Amino acid sequence: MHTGYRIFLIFIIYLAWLIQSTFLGYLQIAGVKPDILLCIVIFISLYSDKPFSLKAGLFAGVLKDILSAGIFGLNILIFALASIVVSNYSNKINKESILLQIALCFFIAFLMSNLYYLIGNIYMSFPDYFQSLNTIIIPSSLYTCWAYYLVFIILLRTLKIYQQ
Amino acid sequence: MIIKKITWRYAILLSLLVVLIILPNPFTKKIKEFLILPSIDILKHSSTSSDNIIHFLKTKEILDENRELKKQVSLLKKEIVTLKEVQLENERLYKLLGFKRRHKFKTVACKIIGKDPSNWLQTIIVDKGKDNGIKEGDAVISYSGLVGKVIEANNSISKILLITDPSLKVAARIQRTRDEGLIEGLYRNLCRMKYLPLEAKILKGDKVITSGFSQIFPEGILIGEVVEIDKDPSCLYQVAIIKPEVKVNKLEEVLCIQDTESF
Repeated sequence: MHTGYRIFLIFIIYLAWLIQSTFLGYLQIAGVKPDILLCIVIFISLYSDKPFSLKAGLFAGVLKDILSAGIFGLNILIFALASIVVSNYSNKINKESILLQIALCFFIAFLMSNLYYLIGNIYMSFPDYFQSLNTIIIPSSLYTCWAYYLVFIILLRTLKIYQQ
Repeated sequence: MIIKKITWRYAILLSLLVVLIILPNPFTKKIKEFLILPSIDILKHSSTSSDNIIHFLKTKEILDENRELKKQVSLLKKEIVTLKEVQLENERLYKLLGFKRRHKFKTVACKIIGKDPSNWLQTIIVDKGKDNGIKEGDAVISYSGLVGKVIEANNSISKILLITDPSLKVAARIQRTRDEGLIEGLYRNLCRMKYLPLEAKILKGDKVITSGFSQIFPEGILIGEVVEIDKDPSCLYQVAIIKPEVKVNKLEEVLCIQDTESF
């Protein structure tokens, strides 16, 4: 991947963080908003090499953690894990199939939300698991995988422009 | 199989991240403060820009709302005159009976510059901090009702835990029946009022206010209204679902209560 495009992706992560913490609050559905930072990290992990995707995951996690009132480091850990898991299997995933990528995004978002609940519950008071599953985990995972479609279209187009 | 693929480098990195999670809060707070510093101005500008975009998209809605509000203002002006008389009478009676005086608040107006990026914590970030006299534990209100409390105060910004977060508990009272209970967040912009007596005759639409039993929230602040009443599974008390008066996802400005003073 071209160095210029990598810098562009880092800028996109920063921009997504600003949107995630300001504008997306207005686009809540059923009290949840999509995690566009996770979408970008998944895209980078699929289309880039392992070291860069890990760096992108760590950067996105740090950004998310500094604005969060929760435990510092939890989002960094989750984003790092997401990038490691996705980049390990990126060769086996058919990159032509958007549906497969959306399904992968749902799976990762669901897995990471569960992990957040498990670790976060030690330090914070979350509602019981089934209530959290209904109100946060499933709705946010569905919304995130829907948002992945938009992120995929935008980032793939920019990637093609850079490749040309 | 996944474990086999994760190299030693990854294992060390992940272990370091686990250590970061278990670090004591004051230490991580300083890291957060240091890292957020370069982005505060950008965050403020992007928040203003996103508000402007939303306002532009909702121009028609805002114009309608403005017309409706103008009508309400003229009605409320008449009501204020009546209430002023009642207030003066009330004050005279307070003096006459020697009751403890009520308080009014000393507040700081804050602009919301961001929201928690995750869905798990219902928090907002405001543009004022310790430099403006805000401290952790301060109650936060808006023109329409209770918003939450300050949980993290840095020098120039603060984080506010909203009433819709399950970890925030507020001692509350049903205004009509005077029954007391405890409010906690329920996500989806709703709250739950627990420990209401079984014999309490609560109705949908009843207003809920703060009871003033906690040290943080002063008495009489509007929280919301009852939208659903049910019995707790243990059948020992009633539970009411409360719709907060404050639309937490549409908030733009809040007031942070710094101190209370007698009037």
